[in-house]
Amino acid sequence: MKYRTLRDLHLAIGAFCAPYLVLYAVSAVQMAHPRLTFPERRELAWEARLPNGERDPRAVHEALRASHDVRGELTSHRSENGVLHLAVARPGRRYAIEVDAATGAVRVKETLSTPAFLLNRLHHGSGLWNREPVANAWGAALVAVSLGLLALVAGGVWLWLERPKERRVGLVVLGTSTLFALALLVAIRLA
Amino acid sequence: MGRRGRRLSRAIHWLRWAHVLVGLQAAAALVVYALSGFAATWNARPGAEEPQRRSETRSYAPREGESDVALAKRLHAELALPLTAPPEDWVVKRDAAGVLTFRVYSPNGMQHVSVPEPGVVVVEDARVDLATFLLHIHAHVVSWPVHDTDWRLVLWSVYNEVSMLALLGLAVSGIAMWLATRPLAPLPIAGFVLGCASCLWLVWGSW
Repeated sequence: MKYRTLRDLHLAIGAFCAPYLVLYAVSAVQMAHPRLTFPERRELAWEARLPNGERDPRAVHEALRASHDVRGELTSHRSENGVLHLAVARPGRRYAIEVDAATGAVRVKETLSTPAFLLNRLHHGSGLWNREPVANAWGAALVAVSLGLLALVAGGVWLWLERPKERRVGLVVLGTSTLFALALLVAIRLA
Repeated sequence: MGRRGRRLSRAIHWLRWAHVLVGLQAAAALVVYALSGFAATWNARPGAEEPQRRSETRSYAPREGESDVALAKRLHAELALPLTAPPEDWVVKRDAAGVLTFRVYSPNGMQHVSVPEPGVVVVEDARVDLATFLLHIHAHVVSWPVHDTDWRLVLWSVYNEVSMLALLGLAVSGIAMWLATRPLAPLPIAGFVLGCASCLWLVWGSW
């Protein structure tokens, strides 16, 4: 492959991955240094009523999704003293839902994520088998960016090898850091 | 080429040089990050199983009047559970049957320690598979105050955090070089537009 073609491909893959990598890197720095977060979150409380007297947790969630845009994964549910408790979450919001089984009255506490917390949750998002289409799309993007990252490393090393002036210093840097990282990984795994 | 052009050309030369060296320095970490992306996807599959626990029973010398927390910290030291920090006070508990328990974690998984009777300690080791190990290790960074007591984890944390910043630098310097040298090249424009549009759409949809 010609140098220019490979360079353009490297650049195109990097340009596609860049917004995701910046998001992952910024949220990683934020998670490593929790003092950088802004813990204030906005909470809303609102009420609704289930029209069809539905009491099944998944059906309740579906009804609230349709009527009040309660999107997200149903992370837990339990029934206690005639009240159904549901927890629904997506990266930007969390819902604590209480449904009175007798009357169908619904009380919802909605917590809105701060931008830092949204990035944090997105960083943890993965998988292609979620109930939410957006979560699956994010999982697919994660796979694409992971493939892109591998391609960037492979392409970057190839491009570097094509530049004779930079080979010697690069070899020292690549060799030292890779051996260092591999030795640590093996030492930690075997501990 | 004018003076300004030469200055820009020199700046791009050094930026490219730094981009190459930083990329080579972080190459191993970037591979780990990519593999951990696959690992996260794999671990989120339906029917993914928890790691199996391997149990080992050992003995220790009980001391009169020793508190639960003091005993837990002494057991942690005597058992020499690898790569783990001593248990915090709040993780030392008694379960419903009154058995003293605590858990410690390392990138290799969780270790559950229980004391069913004085002088007897049971260690359950839930060692994770390689995919989960990569997932754990990619997230292991320096926390302040430093909890890691193991030199391997401290060194990895420093390397990982430097690589994390390197990744940010690579993304920014790559974009800067692109805009400074070939801003109208169609392939990078297509990649950037696709990346930004899809990322913004997903962030908006997740909000």
